[in-house]
Amino acid sequence: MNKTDGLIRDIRAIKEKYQSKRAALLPALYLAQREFGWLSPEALEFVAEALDVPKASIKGTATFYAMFKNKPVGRHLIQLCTNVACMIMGAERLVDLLRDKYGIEPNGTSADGRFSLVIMECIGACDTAPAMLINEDFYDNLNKENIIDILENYK
Amino acid sequence: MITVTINGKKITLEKQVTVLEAARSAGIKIPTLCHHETLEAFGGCRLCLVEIEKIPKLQTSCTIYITDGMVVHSETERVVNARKAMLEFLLINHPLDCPYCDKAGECDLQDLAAKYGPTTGRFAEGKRTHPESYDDPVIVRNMERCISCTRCVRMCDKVQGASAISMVNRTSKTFVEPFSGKRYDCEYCGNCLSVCPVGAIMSRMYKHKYRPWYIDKNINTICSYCGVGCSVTAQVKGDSLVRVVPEMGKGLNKGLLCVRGRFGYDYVNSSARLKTPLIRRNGELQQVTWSEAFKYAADRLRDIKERYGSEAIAGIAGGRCANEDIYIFQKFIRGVLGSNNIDSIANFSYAPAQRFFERIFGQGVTANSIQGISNSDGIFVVGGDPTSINPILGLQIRAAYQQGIPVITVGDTPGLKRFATCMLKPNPFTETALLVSLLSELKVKKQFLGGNSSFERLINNISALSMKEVEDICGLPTDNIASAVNMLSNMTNPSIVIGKDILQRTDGHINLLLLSAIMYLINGRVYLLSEFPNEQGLVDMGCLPDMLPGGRPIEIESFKKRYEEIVGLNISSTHGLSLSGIIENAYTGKIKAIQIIGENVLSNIPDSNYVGKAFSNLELLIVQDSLMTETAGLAHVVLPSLSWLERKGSYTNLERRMQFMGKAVEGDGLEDWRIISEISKMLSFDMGYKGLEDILSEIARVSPLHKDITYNDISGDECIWPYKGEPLRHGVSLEGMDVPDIGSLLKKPAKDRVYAVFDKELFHPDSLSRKSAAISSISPEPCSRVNRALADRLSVSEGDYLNISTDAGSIEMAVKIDEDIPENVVMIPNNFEGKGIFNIMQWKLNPVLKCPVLDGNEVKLKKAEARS
Amino acid sequence: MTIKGLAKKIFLIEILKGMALTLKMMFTHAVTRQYPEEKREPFPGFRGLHALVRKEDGTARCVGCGLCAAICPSQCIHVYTSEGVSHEKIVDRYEIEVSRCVYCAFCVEACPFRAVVLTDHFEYAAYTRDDLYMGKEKLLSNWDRFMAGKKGNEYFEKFWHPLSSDFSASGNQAIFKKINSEG
Repeated sequence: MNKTDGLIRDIRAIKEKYQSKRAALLPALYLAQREFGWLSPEALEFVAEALDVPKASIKGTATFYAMFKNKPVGRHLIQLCTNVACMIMGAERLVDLLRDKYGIEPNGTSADGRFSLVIMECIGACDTAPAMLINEDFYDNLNKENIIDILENYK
Repeated sequence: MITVTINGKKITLEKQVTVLEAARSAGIKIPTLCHHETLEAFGGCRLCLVEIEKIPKLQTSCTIYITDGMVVHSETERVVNARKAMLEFLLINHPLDCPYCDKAGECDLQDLAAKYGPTTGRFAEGKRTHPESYDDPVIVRNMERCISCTRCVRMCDKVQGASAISMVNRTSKTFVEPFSGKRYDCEYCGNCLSVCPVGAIMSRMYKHKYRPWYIDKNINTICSYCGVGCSVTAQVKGDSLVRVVPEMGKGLNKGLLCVRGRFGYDYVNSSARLKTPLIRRNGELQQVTWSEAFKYAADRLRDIKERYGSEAIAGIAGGRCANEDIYIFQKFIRGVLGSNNIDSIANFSYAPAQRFFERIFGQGVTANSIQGISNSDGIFVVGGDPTSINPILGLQIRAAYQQGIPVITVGDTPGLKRFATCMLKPNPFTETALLVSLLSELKVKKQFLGGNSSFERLINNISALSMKEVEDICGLPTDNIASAVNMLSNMTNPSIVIGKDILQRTDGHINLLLLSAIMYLINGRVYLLSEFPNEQGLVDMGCLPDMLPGGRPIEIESFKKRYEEIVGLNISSTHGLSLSGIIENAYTGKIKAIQIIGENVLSNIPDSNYVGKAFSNLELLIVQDSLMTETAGLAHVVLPSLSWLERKGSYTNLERRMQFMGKAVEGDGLEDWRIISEISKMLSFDMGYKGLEDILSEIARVSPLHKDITYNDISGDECIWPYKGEPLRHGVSLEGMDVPDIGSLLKKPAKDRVYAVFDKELFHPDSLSRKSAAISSISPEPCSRVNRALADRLSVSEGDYLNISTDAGSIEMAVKIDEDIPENVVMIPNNFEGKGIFNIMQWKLNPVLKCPVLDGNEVKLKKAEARS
Repeated sequence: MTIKGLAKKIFLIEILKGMALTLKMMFTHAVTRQYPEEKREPFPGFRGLHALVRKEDGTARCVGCGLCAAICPSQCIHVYTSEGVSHEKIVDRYEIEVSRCVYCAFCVEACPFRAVVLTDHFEYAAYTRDDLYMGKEKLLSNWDRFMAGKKGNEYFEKFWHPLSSDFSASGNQAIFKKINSEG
């Protein structure tokens, strides 16, 4: 309960910064996603209540943007780039590795709910490809060895 | 002056409008899909593309504004090719199920594809699939057909203000959905389906039953639900009704409707319709022929008149009868039966409030145009939720709020929750104290206009109540009241919307005085919310115990004489009994016979038990109605009258606009006026009317207000107050008007008691909508609303049943939790037989207005036993 | 009058010529058909009695779109539809007033599903008008009687448009989905 109280406070604080309530929608949804893990109907209703914006229009916004998750995701979200530079540097082999080691399909979640994998189109780190994001942490120069080490830090 | 050339045609316009509007004003058609007159420009469908000289790219004509000297071409090869391409894109995902789709024939996309469209598509990708949704009782969504024009979403957001649906997902997977993804959680206005250009959102009421081109007749008529009087069109195939639809941009509703107008029309085909006359014999209602019924009714009336005198007879008229019916009815009761005991439900607050305002401000003060609400610079709503009582009027308030006009509400107005600048929610039944304090503050801030010195003296005599004192009584913070006062005092041209709730109180007459004082101070225009389509007609046609047609008091000797001459009958000059008086006298046995036309009195006024007993004391109860109601169930004679859509007539709405309703289909029964004149003939007075024209021409002669009125005037758009007639000029007489005793208002409501408050629901405002299968499918059972704290105390949760009891009786009702109502009230609707708030109320009258009061009903609540 | 003309008259030349022709014809084949004993096979595409196409599952192919009724110049087709239990469109009644039909076959052309045809049957004179007011069942039995089997298919292949093969669309497109008129 206390957790969501804090969230309401944060959302209301964002709301204060903008002239219109809807302007605060994206940052508020981010906060809610961080808190709830994904944007469940409950999370959307929560944001609607806090911002006083109709819940249907919040659903519209939340389903429009790819970075908002409308389905449950694992505890940690891996966003791995397979665009040209990363592909050349072997990103696709990393996808296979993740499949073999943790049983995660692209756009899927591991059976234990630990990791979800999303294939991204360029996260702007072509010079140090291949690169990925885990939740909001950035990792580059990946290879078959260090990616396992990194992932082992996320339980 | 701006001159533009479109397709070689020179168009000169004063205002800067869009190219599309300029073209349409000159009769040049530019195709559109996403654009709609009632909505703001969107520019999404790209079908209104036009070529404008000196602009290299094609422009969307719905968003680009005209400039002087602009040269536009709307049908060049380039434009046509672009439209063709756009249609090809739209058809990538649009299924070709036109033979199956009900929209075919009136589908914008189909028409455009036929005009511009490619015959084949070049896209080999599969079409998206999306299951058709039947989660909703009256609306079907087929999102395969959706072309993402967003008209429905914009309609829902901006015009209706419900924000119940939105565009979900991206790209070709976009579709429209309510938040739940299943049933709509909204007001069911259905305006989304009337703007849908394709068959994506449609009504289930006539699904697969018609094709648009089957319709042979379009009959313009007026919705029969509330006092707004929205225009609707009844569409008929052969001799059966296909559907009732609005026509966009037409009527005072401009094509918008509420749930009742759009889906509630099916009561005309209800199984509860009366088909033959009935007479009670040996305690049972038995079918008889018309002539038998007429003879029986006339004989009994004659008998009672001879035995007990005219005063033992009374008439009650209903707010859904046409002007012609109620005129004939009052003539019959007054002239033929010789009794002034004629009244209607309009006299429970609508008529007295109007008369009170007219006494101060002159006749016609309540005749204000509904469109005027959004032109005012402030809105003060008190005594009811306009969005549920008169939804289309409520939309004007929402529109005004969205334009930035301040809206102040007093009391429970859930429909304006997101559309009010300041919501004052005083403790239950303490509005009077709040109004006194508002008035006291306004007296300080505003100057008297000096137009009406005796009323100003009266206002000055009302003692003041400070905000601090009120804070405790009403439970409202001083800041809230102060900000409301500030807003009110800054308004120069405000609208005041008054519901009946605040008048049907023990201190209703005081509220009325206070509201007129506030209105006088801030120079407001008043709108009285009206629940029946012809409530105003009841007043204007003289269905009141002390008023003759034209709003003329019966005391005016010259007018009475004129009435008697034209009608050819002598009438009594004493005031008759009002509706409450009629019922009380029936209860005590002084009234022996009552004739009721088109009103379910038993269910629509509190307290049902008292009224039921009063009616069962009668020697004769004649009920003319189109449906079998609770009241008809007690009657000795039941005469089936024709329902709405089956007869012609006129209605007068709350802005005193007279409108004509057409006849669409044949029905069983007779018009009310015909039934009455047949009975009259049996009582040896032949009224001799051949048709409605005869009646209207008599009205036009009798009522100075309706002087020279004809059906041509009424069928036109603007038959509004004061028509061609002469309004009555009263001398201002405020004699006998009392200044309230403020001391008695300083009572704090007891916190530990729970009060029943009448919930005027959107779906079932009175007993008519119960007979509509569509509305009953949306709202199948009554629901009471309580605050969460109260629910927790009673340990009930949403969906449980609550046992609500008073000294008068008890009812069981499902519970809904509503955070926005005070902790010590339970909101109870009155919309189902034997299960309404009126069943558990006591018969108590306001001493001045003589209407039953709704306040002070303390209830005991407990959780009901689990149900199967 | 000339001598030649007079001679023609006296010797009845014209009559003899005619008799000669008659005599000649007596030895050729007769062109008259002895109808009704002797019947003629109608040409393919002959426009005779109406029929509603029956699918293999025994139901009518018609979906009740009403285009036939809309195009009919003599307004002799009436279609009544309603919603079924699983929200499908049901054709409650499909009626043709045969005695008012002008046999233009616009209905056949308008039909997007090839559900209505004019069979080559033309002998349906009746004693009452009621017999010529045909309902759905009667029209379906007309199909069974006159067009069922190969004949019906040939009829569509050869004569009537539009054919579904005229519309090109990939297999998984939602064209006519749920309607399932092909049978």
